[in-house]
Amino acid sequence: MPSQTPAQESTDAALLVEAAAGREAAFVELYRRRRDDVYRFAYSLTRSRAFAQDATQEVFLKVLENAGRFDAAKGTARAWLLGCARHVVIDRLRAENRRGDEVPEQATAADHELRVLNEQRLVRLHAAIAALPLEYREALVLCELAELPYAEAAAVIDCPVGTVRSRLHRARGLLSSSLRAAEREPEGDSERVVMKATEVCS
Amino acid sequence: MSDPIRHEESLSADLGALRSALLEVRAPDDEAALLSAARARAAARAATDAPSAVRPPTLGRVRIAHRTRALALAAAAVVAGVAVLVAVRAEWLLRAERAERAQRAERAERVAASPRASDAVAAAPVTAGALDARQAFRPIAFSRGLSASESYSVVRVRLELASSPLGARGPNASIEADLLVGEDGLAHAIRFDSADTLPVYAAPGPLSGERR
Repeated sequence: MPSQTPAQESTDAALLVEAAAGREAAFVELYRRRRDDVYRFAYSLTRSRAFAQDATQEVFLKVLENAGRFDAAKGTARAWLLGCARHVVIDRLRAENRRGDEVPEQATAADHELRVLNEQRLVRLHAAIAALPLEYREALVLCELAELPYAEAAAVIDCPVGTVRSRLHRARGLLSSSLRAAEREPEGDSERVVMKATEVCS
Repeated sequence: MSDPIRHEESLSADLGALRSALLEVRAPDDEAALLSAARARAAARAATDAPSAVRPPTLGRVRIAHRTRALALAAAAVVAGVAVLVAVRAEWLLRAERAERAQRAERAERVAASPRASDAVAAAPVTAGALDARQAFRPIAFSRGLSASESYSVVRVRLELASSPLGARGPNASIEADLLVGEDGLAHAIRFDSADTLPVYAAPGPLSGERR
C-alpha cells in the first residue's frame, strides 16, 4: 500500500463524491482502485483471506451508503476508506467473538497468500502481528505496512497523533519481544509463535 | 552492535519485506457480487421510499400519519422523561424533608435525654406547674427564655442569704443553686437545691407557715 500522490487522492475524493451522488460507474471505479488496499488492510490485521474478502465487500457496501459523509477537509479519501474498513473489521471481530468463534482462520499452506509470503520468517512475523492486541496491531499495520503518515493513521483510528506514535512504539516492542522469544524456541510451526506473542501481549 | 539495536533493525527489515510481500496480495474480484449486493440494497431502499412518490395522495397521508405518530411517540417519550424527572425530584425532596425531620426529632430527643436539657424543658413556664417545682429550673426575669435547639450548661453556685429575709436561717446562711447558662454566657434559668428549696421557693402561704 504505497503512499498516494495528490492526484490519485483528488481522484479518489471525486469518485467518492460522485458515488455519493449515485453514479454507479464512479463507485465501481473506486472499488477497482481501492479494493486491494482495503483487502490488504483487513488481511494484515487478521491473516484470514476469507475474513478479508467478506470485510472488503462490506466496506464498499458501507461506502456506497455513507459516501455522502466523506469530508475532504477532515482527511484523505484513502484514510476515510481505511477508517470504514477498520470499523467493519472491528465489528466483525467482535461479532465473531460473541459467537464464540475462533480467531479468524489462520493462513494455511494452501493459501495463495502463503505462496506469496513463502518465507517462514515473514509468516512468523505476520502471525506475531496478528496476535498483537488490536489497538497496537492497527497502528502497526497502518503505519508500517500501509505506510500511512502518522496524521492519516490518527484520522483512521480517530485518536491523537501522539497516541499513534506511542502505540506504534509499543507494538514494535511487543513484536520484537515475541520474535526474540520465538527465536529462542526450537523450530516449530508458526502457531507456537502466535501463542508466544499472545502471552507477551496479554 | 548491541542486541536491541540489531533486533530493531532486523524488525524494520522484516516489516519492509512483509510490506513488499503484502503488495503482491490482491483482493479477489468480487465486483459482480458487490454490485449485485449494492443493487439489492438500493432496490430495498427504493422500495421503502417509493410509495410516497408513486401514490402521493393516500400514501403521503400515511407518511404524514407515520410522522405524526413518530412525533407523538417522541413527545410522549419527552413527557414521560419529564414526569420521571419530576417524580425523582419530588422523591428526593421528600426524602430530604424526612431526613431533616428525623434529624430534628433526634436532636430534640437528645436534648430531652440530657439531664440539663430535660430540666430546661421542665423549666418552661407552661409546664412548671405540672412538675415538681423544687426540681425545676425557673426562668430568670428578663432573660431570653429557653430554647430546645440551644445547649446549656449547668453551673452550681452558692448564694449568700445574709441580706435577704431568708437570712433568718442564720447569719452565714447560704443556699446552693444551679444556673442554666446558655451559649451566650448568660444565666437563663435557676434551680435551687432541693434541700434549700423550702425557704426559697416558699410562696407566701407555705413560707409563712414555715416561719412560724
